[in-house]
Amino acid sequence: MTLSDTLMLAMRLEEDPAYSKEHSLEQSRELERFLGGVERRAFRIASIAVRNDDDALDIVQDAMLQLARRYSDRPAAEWRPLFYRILQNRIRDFQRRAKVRAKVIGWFSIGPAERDEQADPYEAVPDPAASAVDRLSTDESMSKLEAALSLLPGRQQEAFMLRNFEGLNVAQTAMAMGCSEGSVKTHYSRAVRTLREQLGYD
Amino acid sequence: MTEKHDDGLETHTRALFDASVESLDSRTRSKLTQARHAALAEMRPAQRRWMQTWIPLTGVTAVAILAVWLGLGQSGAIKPSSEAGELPLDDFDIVAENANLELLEEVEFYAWIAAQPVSSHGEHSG
Repeated sequence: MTLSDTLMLAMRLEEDPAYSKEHSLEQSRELERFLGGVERRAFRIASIAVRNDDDALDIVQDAMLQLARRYSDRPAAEWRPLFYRILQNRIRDFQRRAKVRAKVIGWFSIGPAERDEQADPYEAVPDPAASAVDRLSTDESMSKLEAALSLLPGRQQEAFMLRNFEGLNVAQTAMAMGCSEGSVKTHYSRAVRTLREQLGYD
Repeated sequence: MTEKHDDGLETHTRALFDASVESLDSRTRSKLTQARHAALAEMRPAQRRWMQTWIPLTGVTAVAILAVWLGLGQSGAIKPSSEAGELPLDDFDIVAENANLELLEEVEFYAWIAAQPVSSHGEHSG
């Protein structure tokens, strides 16, 4: 871009704020449609992975914020794999921190339940959100599926949920997981085999 | 390694997952909507960043152009003109230099000198 182009562009933006505003609104509407379409599914994926609804909400919110802040100016077609990549990174970070926390708690010989009670006395108060979890747990099949998924290694779980639940193709899943397409196929295949055994599909 | 081994597992688990998404409680849906709005609010400053980058840059560029133009003027590449409507660079130098402050203070005196008629001996009269 030449100096004169820069000056002309700056002058146009100065003189025609309506143009800039209209462009911004259209992009904002498109991102809202995208996020509205994926947020519930992303929440369920996160809640299955971290086994806690509040943590899953935090993870999804963080993923949405990161997408809006960093990638909203990218083509809309790229948002889906980018969003799931951010989501999976957040889930992995959470699981890593949970492991470290569990180790530290183990060193100090404090049980997780006891620590939770010390940290947050409001944990004992009945949470209205629990009703949702209870409602889901009444669905025996879903409960069994979640239990079986939780036993899978992390990468297999990711591959299965992104490919099967979200319908991402192999290339998109590879991008979301940050690995090769071959690895995705391997993880997915092993996940299906294990789940078939666990859920009695043999 | 093939992925084409759906014996109902994939279809069934996908249906279960979809059903669990549909049955999310209103509290969770509301929280997700709030999170979406918070994310969209973060998007707008990111878009303004473009303007925040370019408009100051344009200002800096304009100052640089002015500085170069003045520099060329001082080096003689641009001849100062006393024509009406053009910037007299010699006068600009006078204004810019501290050494000529005394001259500025006595400018009325020199204006008066210049206004006096010149005598035949080459001296100002009066």
